[in-house]
Amino acid sequence: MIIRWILFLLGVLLFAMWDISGASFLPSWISIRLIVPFAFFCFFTERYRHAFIALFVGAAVQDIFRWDGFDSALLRWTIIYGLMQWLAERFLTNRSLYVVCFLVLAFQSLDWFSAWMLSGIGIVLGFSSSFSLPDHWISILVWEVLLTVIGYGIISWSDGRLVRFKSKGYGS
Amino acid sequence: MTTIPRWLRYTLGIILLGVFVMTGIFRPIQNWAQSLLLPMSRWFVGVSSSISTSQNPDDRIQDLENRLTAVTADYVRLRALEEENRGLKAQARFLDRSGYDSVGARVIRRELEGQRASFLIDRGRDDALEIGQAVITDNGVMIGKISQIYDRVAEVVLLTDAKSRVASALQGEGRLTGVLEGKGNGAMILTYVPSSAQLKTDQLLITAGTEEKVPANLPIGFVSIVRGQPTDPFIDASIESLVRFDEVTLVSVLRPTALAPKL
Repeated sequence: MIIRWILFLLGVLLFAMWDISGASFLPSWISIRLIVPFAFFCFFTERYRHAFIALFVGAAVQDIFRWDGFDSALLRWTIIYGLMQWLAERFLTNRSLYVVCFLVLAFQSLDWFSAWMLSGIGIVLGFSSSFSLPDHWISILVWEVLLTVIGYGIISWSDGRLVRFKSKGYGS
Repeated sequence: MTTIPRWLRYTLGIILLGVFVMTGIFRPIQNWAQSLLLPMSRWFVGVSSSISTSQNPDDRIQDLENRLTAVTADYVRLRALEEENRGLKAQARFLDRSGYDSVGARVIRRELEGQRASFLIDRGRDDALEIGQAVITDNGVMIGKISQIYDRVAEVVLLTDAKSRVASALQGEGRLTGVLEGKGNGAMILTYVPSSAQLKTDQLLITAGTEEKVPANLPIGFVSIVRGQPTDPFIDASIESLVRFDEVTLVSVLRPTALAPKL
């Protein structure tokens, strides 16, 4: 059990370091980030604790290397994760692939929005620099959704059940 | 016995975390974690840089660009030496005589998005770096200044960042010409240039040397477009950089010789 947790933490740390030092040196169209898809992969296999730890470690590594005194990924990601969980528990009970993709997109959009908001406050208070949406934001979203879909597909295939690609409507 | 609701505990936890983060209590932990994660970071940079290099479709053009940059840098250096009647000398000796030495660093994070243009390098306070010191490429072209510093790493604000300001001069003029301002998205503009200045396209821009930690005669870029009327008090010009920031992986930081660690 402990060994499994150590391996998990090491894996998460590697993913987080890749997002910081690896992805930014690749051409923009293959700038693949791993931590968010991985966390949501855990989230939708109902390993909430794993998902939270993955996001927490990912955010901590981001803050270690880019914290500018005000805008903290640790703070933003913790809040967004809480919001996502609350949203998923109350409204998004259907675990279809559409829901998975929607939440990944919502997480990333909220991440950028909150970074923009916090950096704005930080500028007013004289702490941080202005936030800029990544130039290749579409490819970031596409890769995150694609990786989540692949992960979801693999786990469904290994469990012996097919991925439900669309939710069932009433009466079907 | 009353229990605190879950949402309240969660909110209090977040507020507490926010207070801790903003007061800088985590700064020693941050320094320690940076030291611990640096080797992993360097390894990832190596891996992704090699992937990125193998993706380049036209290496020959890149080689020629690099050579042009190197030749331009040499030209500037030689002209500077000629003007000062010092004769020919190597880059290292130039640095020695100008009272600066250089420390090599590897870029471990790159941020070139919109208004932001910055690098994180694997040298910091432990290597006697200070905020405001000039950062150059291996060809001697200035690319930015140190803006934030930790024990083992430092942040470099590149010349194209919206916050960047560098006192600049035209090659051969030998005096301050204007202020080079970053505009984001890879753009730089030379502003506050008196309209009496003879500003022409393809002229070479260098550092003016009026800033405390930035030596003179470091090449920056070429004048590409000149804007303004002769009747205006000031004119400005777009500047084209001599290097592509998205291809820089190794840099040098210029620090006063007095700050170099004694061996």
